[in-house]
Amino acid sequence: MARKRRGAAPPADGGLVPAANDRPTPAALAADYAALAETPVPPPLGFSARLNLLLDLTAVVPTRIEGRVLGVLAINPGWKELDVRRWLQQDQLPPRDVLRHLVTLLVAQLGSEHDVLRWEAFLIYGAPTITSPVEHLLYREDRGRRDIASRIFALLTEQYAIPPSSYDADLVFQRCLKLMQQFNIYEWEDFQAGHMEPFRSVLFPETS
Amino acid sequence: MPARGDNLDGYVLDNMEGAVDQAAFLARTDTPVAIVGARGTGKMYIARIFHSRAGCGPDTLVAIDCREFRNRDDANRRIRHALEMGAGKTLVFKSPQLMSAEAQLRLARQIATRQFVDLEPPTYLPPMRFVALFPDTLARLVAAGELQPRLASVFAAYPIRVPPMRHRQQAILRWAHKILDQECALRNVVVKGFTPEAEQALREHPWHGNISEIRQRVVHALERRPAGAWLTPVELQLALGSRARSAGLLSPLRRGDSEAPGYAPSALEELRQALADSLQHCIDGRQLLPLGGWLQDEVVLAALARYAGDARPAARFLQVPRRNLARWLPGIEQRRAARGACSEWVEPARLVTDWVRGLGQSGGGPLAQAETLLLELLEARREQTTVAQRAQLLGVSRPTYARRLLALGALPEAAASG
Repeated sequence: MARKRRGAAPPADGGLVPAANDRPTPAALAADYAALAETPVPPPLGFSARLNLLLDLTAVVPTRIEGRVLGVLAINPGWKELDVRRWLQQDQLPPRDVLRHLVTLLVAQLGSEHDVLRWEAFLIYGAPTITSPVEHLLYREDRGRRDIASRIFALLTEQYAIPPSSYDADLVFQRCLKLMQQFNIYEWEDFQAGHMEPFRSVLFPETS
Repeated sequence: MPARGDNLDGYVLDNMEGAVDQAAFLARTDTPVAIVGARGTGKMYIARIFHSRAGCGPDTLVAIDCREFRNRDDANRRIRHALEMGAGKTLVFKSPQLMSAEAQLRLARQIATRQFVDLEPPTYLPPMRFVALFPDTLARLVAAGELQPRLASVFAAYPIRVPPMRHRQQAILRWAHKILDQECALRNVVVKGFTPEAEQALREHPWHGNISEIRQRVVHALERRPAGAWLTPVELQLALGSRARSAGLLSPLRRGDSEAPGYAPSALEELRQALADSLQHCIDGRQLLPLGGWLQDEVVLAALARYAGDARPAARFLQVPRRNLARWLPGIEQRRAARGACSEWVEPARLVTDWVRGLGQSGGGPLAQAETLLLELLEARREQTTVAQRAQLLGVSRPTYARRLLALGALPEAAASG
């Protein structure tokens, strides 16, 4: 158990940096660290499941009942089968450089809109700590909602005279879909006059 | 018929805050899926969406209710059978955190490796999908010691969170109209809809029982309302204004803490409160209703409902001989009119159904648990009642009441006082 740190109270002026005399001494920090270091860090819950999810999405290796471990091993025969099995089944993290290279390789199969670092962080920590890197894909298929989002988008840009050069249309569209979901707007009649301002402030924060 | 609503299959106007989208997305993958939500939120419905979006027929969805496993061996045997017969199916594990730790670990290992345990040579499972329904987030269940980290891990890829109704108050009327449509069609009756007051009460109610509670209240209202009429807050057993919790227009923007636990009472806590209210009403009105007997009646009926009227598993769940059920049922039916005529009993009856539905097989029998609950509430009112009155409220004689108290571990003088 870590001891209570000296000077843990927030600074009086509300700033982020505590006053010099409130800061813990190096010895106190070292003691706190030693206490923390005694606690083993559990494996990241769900790492293997998320790595398998990424492999499912890329479809570059066989499924789990068709020899996935061997399929991953074929990417680099230098890896040991036992290690790969632990990555895929027991939440054990590969060495950092191996993980980065593997994620880079796999994410490249998904398309340029995917972010390697975000995927890497998601694999390790999962949602909700890291927002899912596939969240933006969830709303692409619902035609009805996309039509309503388009109408809201058009209404806002017309009402507030927002020029096309001032926004990234894809980003705004995704924000609109997300906000519609949060407001439970699934029919055009759900969108009320009172929604205009909140939508404007979220979709076009720089104009409000 | 109500003006709003749509076809009768599934949701139409509420997207369950993205849960449907997420289920549809995950159906493209081989990922074991955790669906997380409080009781009555529609987790099984999301499981069915996942299953159907994967291109599977309705007859290939297999629900495995882990509350029904009597012990570790029973769990292992039934899961093994489901895995052997699971080719092309979706196995939906309901409340797997209720299994023993060993059964959880064994299941986790089989899902993680996709191989049968204890089989030589190692043999892959047939192709199938896995879904697990959890009442709380995986991290919280693990922290509470209920869920084994290994089992949590295999379902932790991208859990689908089904929000409670109180987080999507804008959708309450849609669900209410939808359910009213469905129940009217099932009963072949015509109802005009909800009165404005009923709609207001629907919006203001906290809905701890979520969608299941909406259905229970609508069904109750339909049973008490002649065809062609409007449903009012009275039929829905909802109070107007007393529990108003307006979300406000901007509440979705502030909902960044959607993972925050927040307090929602369990079915047992709600039942305890409803029983306490009914009891107090009886005491205040000097109306000594046999609440204990009615409570036992409701538990028996709820157990039968849990098993779709099948007496054998219902008796096993109640931990009583099957012949007792047959013996009790005529009396339970006889008392139905009296129970139904008592407005104070509607809420406890509904909550007994909720509570019984979520109980596991382990622990004391539900009849004994229910009686203990009422006994404790009665003893908390010793100052206001005599022993004779408390015995009458429990529906037993004075000597029996004293014996029950002793069995409960209460002080002998408690039984003698009054």
